[in-house]
Amino acid sequence: MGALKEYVDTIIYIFAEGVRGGRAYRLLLAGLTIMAVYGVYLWLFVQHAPIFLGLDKGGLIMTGVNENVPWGLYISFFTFWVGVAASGIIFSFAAYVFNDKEFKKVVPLAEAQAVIALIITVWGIVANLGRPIRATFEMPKFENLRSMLDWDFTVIFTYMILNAIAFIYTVNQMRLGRPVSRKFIIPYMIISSPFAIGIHTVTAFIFHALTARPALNTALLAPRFIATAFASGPALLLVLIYIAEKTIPEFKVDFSVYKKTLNVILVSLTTGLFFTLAEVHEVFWYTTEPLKKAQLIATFYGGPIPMLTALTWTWIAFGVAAVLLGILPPMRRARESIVVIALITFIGVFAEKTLATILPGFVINPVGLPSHYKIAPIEYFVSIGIHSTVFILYAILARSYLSTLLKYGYKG
Amino acid sequence: MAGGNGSGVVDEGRRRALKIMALAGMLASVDLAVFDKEEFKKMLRKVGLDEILGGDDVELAGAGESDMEKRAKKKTEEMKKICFEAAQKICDEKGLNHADCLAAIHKCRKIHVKATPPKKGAKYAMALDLDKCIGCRRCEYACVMENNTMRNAGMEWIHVIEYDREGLQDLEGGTADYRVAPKKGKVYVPIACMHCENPPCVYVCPVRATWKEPDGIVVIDYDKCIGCKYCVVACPYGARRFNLMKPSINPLELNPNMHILGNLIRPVHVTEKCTWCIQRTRDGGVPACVEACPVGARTFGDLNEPDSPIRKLLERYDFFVLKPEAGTKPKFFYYFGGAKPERAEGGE
Repeated sequence: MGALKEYVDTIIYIFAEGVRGGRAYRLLLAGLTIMAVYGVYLWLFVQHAPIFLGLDKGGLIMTGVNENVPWGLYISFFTFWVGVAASGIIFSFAAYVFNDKEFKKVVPLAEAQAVIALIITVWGIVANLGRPIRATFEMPKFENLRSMLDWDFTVIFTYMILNAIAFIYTVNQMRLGRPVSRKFIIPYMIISSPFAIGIHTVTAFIFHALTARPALNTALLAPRFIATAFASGPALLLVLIYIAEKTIPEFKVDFSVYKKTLNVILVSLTTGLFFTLAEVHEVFWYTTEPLKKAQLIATFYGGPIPMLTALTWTWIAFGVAAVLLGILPPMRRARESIVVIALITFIGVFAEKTLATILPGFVINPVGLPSHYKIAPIEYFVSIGIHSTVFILYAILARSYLSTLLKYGYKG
Repeated sequence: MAGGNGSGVVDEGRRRALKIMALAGMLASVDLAVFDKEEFKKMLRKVGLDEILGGDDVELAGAGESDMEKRAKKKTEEMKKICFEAAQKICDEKGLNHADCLAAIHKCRKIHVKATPPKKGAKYAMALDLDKCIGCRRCEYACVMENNTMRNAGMEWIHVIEYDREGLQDLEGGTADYRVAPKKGKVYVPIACMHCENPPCVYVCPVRATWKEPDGIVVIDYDKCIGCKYCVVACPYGARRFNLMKPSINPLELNPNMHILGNLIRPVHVTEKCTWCIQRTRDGGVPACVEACPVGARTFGDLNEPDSPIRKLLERYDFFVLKPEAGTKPKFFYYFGGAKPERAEGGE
């Protein structure tokens, strides 16, 4: 009972601590709230008006989604953020398996990042879902275990809860001046690592086993997802740590964290680029499989969806640029240059893992007709709203963790 | 010593065997407990009274009424309500004694939602002669009229696609928006749900809202579909459609002959597709597209019936299916060219 009360207090403490801050911080929160409310309003009462209000107008027809492109921007955010979430495990590994004290300081930030990334993924799926209310009742029945969506649903929720538990536990221990116990961390690591890889693997499995979409029907999809995820997640965290260091003068992270993370980013990025190369070779060297070739030609050379080609080349250009910059010794000596490389990486992977991942499967439809997809304004606004709701949460979690860290220090 | 050793070896071997057996037993029981229960339940549920009593011609009242039939009765009321609401609008506009108003009300009264079960032993299939098809799209039109497809978003279950003769094999370079047909050097391929033997769309559905009926028709339960569109993504023929908006209905054009798994007025945000006009074929008819085809390119029938036209056709012609490499085993066959030479023992 005492322990339970302690944790309830911690949760209250996290939120109370998280919203405290200066004028600029409060303005930021207010701005995010406005965007979040507007986005959610658009989703609930405009895009999904036939469901939630029973109106005749509205519906998913307002989005760019159509008969040949059933999954659009929302699902692309799902694939991207699930990767960011998966990468939280890298920091936990560095911290606890290699017992790196500096990394332990940033692990809760990675955990918080995983939680919010997973909330965006769930949001993305729900925004794309035709009938969200019905789904809340039907999905937990797990009626068809052959469907990858059921498995994805399971692993995403489990991993989200695991990360939330770890974050709350860490803050709780710090707040009460106790060390983070190995008795907790070791079982946690053992349980959560397969889930970390699992969320992204299963997400790739949703796409890759479909004969209908030859461009996605490759066993390389899951490894490619993991590789680029391990580049984008740490890159984002590095940028956020840098921002935290700049805005909170007392918060200092050792330079070794930057350097080691950069190495992880570079290795993952190179692997990701290599996988892209392998796929390109598979299709453009000998293959005569018509649909796969048509879909990838439309992806790389331009086809009915020009945006797709632009995004694909953005990924290749930014990815190569990040790797080349990352191996130059002068670039590795300063925080700022490393953060720039992280930003380039993030933009590159963002281009690749969002629409450039799923659209190749749709750009030519299964019977050879060209598809069209244009992001509709409502999709932008709902997406911004979805992201805002979650960034509010991240701001709160990160701020409360950092202030706890500064107040009580870290006892690992 | 040697004997002891030997017996020790035997003992160890036996122990190991027993261990393995015990383990296997455990696994099997776990298997049974975890996975097979649901399967068993389904098997038990399937053998209903109607099967014991010998089938289709036995009409069971009251207790024997299946879930589907109960739901169909409720659906009838629901459809009538929707229809009358739409009819009300027409009457308000044109006056109570206007012919349209009366016709609309008449249509609404006639609505009947059936839940006809599959015919025992039937296995439906369709065949299409590509030499005959002129790309007139009358089948599309008939399909829309028959199946109460929404008129406001331009949705059609059948797509007639124009390919070059060379492009047909790879399904390359097709177009669905041609203006003039037939053109020289082109081939017109109507594509709708193939009612595959191995339907990927059924495998991927997370809530089992779509399944394959015993007579081979792949159906969708509109009351269960959550609108995730995974099946639309999974279909190798691009045959599934999604209601992106609330379907509009016009009572004057409504087809009151409805089946609960077929041509109901669809709710918003669910998937739908060709059902081979389940409301007609389950009662012994043929799909609307077959009936409407002006050149008689389409043939529909029961594969298991030796005298059915489709069976005769498949015996006489070489046929092919779209995307055989997908391994979906479609039940929609295409053929062209002349018939095979008659076999000596064939025919009379």
